[in-house]
Amino acid sequence: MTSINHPSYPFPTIQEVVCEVRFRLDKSWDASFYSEFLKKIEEQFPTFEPTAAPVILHINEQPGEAAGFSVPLVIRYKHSSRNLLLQLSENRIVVNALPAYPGWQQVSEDIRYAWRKLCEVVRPIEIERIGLRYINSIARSAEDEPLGRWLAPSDYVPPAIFQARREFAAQISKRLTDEDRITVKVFERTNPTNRFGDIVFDIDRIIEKNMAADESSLLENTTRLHNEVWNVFVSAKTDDLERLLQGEFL
Amino acid sequence: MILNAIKESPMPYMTSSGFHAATAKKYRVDSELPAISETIANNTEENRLLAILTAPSGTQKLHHYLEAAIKTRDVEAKTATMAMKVWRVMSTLSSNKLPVPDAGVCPDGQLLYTWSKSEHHFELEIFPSGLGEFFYLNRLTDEMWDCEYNIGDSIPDEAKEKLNLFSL
Repeated sequence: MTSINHPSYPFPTIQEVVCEVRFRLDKSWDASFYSEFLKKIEEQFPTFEPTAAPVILHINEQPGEAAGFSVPLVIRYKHSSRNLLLQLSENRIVVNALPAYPGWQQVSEDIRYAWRKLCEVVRPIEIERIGLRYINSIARSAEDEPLGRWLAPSDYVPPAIFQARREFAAQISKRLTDEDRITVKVFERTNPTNRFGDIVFDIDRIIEKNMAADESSLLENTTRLHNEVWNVFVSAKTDDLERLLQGEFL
Repeated sequence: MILNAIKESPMPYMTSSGFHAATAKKYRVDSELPAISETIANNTEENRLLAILTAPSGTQKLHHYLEAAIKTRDVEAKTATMAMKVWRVMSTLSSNKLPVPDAGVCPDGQLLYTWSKSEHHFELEIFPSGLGEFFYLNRLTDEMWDCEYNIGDSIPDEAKEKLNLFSL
């Protein structure tokens, strides 16, 4: 899978890119993996910290089994010079790219790096799930500014929310195939640095199937996801948003 | 929804070390880890992350300001476009650690970027002709420095050093 030709915007609206890879090992998870992983990456990621972990809900698949929840240990590793984080937890690794968005080529290199280093510590026998999420944040410029200034109705941005001036939120979750799904959210969010608030355009594309654990397979799959995230974004982009991304004016 | 599910769960449980290694395969774990931008807490280190995460919003506010100034004919579109370009150059030079400047419009269509941090004050004035002028003032020592600059050229080393004073 090759990456389609995307323009590179000087002023991207991407607030965060999250790539989460879940995998299966040939042995049980061990807490020593966190420090072993640090040793592999500490030249670029010298600091780490445990994070306030979310509650993970476990849904029972067998009738009669109890559902439950757990609080996973998540260790966050910070890049020494770039706004880039890696997060490691049991059977999952996450790459978080923070502003300014460095472009897909760099993000895919970061995913490659994280996976390669992980594979020096553990031996994944299978990738079970890949999620690639692009969170865009657009600062509103006025109290009564319509959503339609920045986004246009599309397959994933429902026309109904364009009728609301304020307090809108929409989420479309779609299973594309047995193995592929997408969740797109558009909503208004308060921002302490912008009294008019922000519009969030959050695109989360997921593959859930048993995949080869090699680097090329992972990058092929993430590139495919990126192409599809891009298509969702561009299908809802207005001319005003294009100018904002380019730093241009009428 | 998660909270409700937990309340309704007949035997909720938690482990001290994380996931349930022995039973993990029995369960389908649906939740992704939240994005960093969704989990920012109010402490010093997280404030730095918050500043990074809100940087695009600050740049967008600058764009909105310049757009409004064009509409009121206080500034020409080409001057505003130059101002956005030079901001990008400076932001990139600082590895995205330079805060978005305060911006103002001057009477003859110039734009003024300013940064202020404790005793340090720094300005870039952008003229419609494409000329720029850097100015630095240390309010404690009265040290001053200025330098002309053609918008689009590389930023002078001394200006870079001054700008580093304002990095996050």
